[in-house]
Amino acid sequence: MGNGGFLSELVISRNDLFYGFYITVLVSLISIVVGTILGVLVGVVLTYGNLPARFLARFYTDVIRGIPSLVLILTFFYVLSVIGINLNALQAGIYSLCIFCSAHVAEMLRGGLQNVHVGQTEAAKALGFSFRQTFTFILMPQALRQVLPTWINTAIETLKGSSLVSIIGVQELILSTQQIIARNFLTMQFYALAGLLYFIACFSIERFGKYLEKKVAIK
Amino acid sequence: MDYVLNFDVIWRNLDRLAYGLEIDLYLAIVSIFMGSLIGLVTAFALLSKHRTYRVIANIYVTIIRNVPLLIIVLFVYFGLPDVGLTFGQFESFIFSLTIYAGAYLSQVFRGGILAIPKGVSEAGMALGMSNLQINVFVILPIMFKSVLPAMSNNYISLFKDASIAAVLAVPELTYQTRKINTDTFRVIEAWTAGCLIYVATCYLIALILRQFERRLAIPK
Amino acid sequence: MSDTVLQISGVHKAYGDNPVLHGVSLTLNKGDVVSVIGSSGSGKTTLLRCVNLLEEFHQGSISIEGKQIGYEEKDGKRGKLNSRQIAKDRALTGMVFQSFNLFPHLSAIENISLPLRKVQNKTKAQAQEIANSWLSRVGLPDRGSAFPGQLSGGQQQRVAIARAIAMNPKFLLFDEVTSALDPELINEVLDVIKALAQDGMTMLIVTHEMRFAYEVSSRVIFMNEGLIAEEGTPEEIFKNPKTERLQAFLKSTKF
Repeated sequence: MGNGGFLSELVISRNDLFYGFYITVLVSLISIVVGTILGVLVGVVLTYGNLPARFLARFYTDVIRGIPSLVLILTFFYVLSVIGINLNALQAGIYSLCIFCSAHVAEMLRGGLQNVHVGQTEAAKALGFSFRQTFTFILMPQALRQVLPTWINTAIETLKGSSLVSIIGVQELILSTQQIIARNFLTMQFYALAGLLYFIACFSIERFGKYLEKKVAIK
Repeated sequence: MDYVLNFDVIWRNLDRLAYGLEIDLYLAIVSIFMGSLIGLVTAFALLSKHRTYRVIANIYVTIIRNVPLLIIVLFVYFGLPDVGLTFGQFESFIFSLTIYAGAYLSQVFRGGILAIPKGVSEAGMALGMSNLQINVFVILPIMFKSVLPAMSNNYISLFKDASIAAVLAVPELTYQTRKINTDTFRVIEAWTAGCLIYVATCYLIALILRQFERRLAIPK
Repeated sequence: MSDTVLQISGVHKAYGDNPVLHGVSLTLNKGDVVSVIGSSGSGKTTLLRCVNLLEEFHQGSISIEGKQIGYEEKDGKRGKLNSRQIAKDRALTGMVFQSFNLFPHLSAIENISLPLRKVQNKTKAQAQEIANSWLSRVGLPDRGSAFPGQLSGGQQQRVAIARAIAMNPKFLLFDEVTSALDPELINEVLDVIKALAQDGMTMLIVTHEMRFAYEVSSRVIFMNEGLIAEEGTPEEIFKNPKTERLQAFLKSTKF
């Protein structure tokens, strides 16, 4: 049980690891994309909606952000099947991560939009822009640039959150790692390897974020 | 769907839920406290003149922040025994959450220290204060007051992260909720109660921390 | 034969319990260059912002070329017009702000062409041409691709003027447009405004620059505590102030 054993075990288990990593990336990607779209919608309502709509949006974001991701995942998994919506573990996991991501995106977008200088809206109004035009061409481009670093953070947190769906039985990286460990008992090595794979994924997102920031920066 | 809501189960098990919450708070408070100390030291290391300190701190922060807490928890509890480091579930989780907290809080403190205008420490130097004196009596107090909002956010996140202790069968709130779920099959009631308690607690913590912010804010 | 471009009649405005305008009336004819002077709190900026409906007003009426804007009388009750109509009415005027309010994520030329394309539905080519010609007229013919962050304050304000005037408004509103500028940069902006005045542009200018107001205006209005206290030609206002308030004000500005 030394490093020689580890390398040969690594080769033997490579397929399971690849598959687990693939599921992790898939779950994260879907959750981030759908969660962001949903979050933008909720964020717009949160910022510009009428009182009842804003209240609902606020309720949604505050409740979701007040629940730990693990509890969110477990709640989705157990409760939905009982009320007749039959989802498998993978679907429950993705849905809960989408909702998690959306609540954070909504809140950050609200902050970003409200941070745009009021003079921008006034200038747009003075020029005769409608609200929709002001929002699309003046407010969103500035707000999105502002929240980019925070969004990258949320994307990374969602990727890390995907590790928790292993608990409801989704065959992602951690569960695959645990199954491999159950076979060869190389616990420390394989958990470290899983950590390394997560690190590579998260770090890539971070690098991508820095690249994006540079690309869209206002001169 | 024939499911009749019956919250009696929750009222009867309120003590277990309360106990779970207590465990969560305990885990969170201990980890946050120690994590803050580590975070502070790390922040100074990140900004140190000595390259060695900067590199070590950077490696620590970069690795921990880009790895899920769950992996750290599993690695420490299941993996470290391989090299002879065995902990109980409680201690193991606190250790993991502390390391995790330290990495995140170091960023908050680092930002706070950087935000202090250079002139302030220069004034200290001009008055003949030593570096340590400047750090302790000038930098730290100013930094604390300005980072309170960001720190509060992190503290609430870390409280939520304490729920991962359930994975090690630590009897905190999530574990208790799941147990009530499997014991009584009252799925909706159990998870509603669990979620509600978390949301309410986070809200209360935020309220309390905001009061602190208000009291300690530098008068403008 | 009315070439009255702007008619303000008996406008009252209050912020909650705080009255700011106590019944202001003003007429702007084509080609008029009217400067509004007064101390801060006199209501001059508020009045300006009522004209392009950035502020609401509770009593009185404002009409552009005879058509009432912002509100309408329906069955004896005063009601606010819908947002589409308000946007249309706003497009009749052009405003230049104290803090420029250029769109930082768009280049100078895009700042000018975007409203032309989206509000006036011009084609990209048309908008580009109009934008370029106005950019030249304000003295920045080769700075079109620069972003606001790359321009000096004076240059930004000139782009802002070009942006407002490219929309071909009935008249222009200037809200203390040099107050946020470093002293060396003020003149380049004032020169542009003077040139526009000579070309016959109708303008309502709120300003602290007394000498400039004296040189460029056809009429000057002195506001005090929400009312027009004195009105007249630059000669009358600056050389022969009649009211005590105006005399005190001019003394304090050391004109």
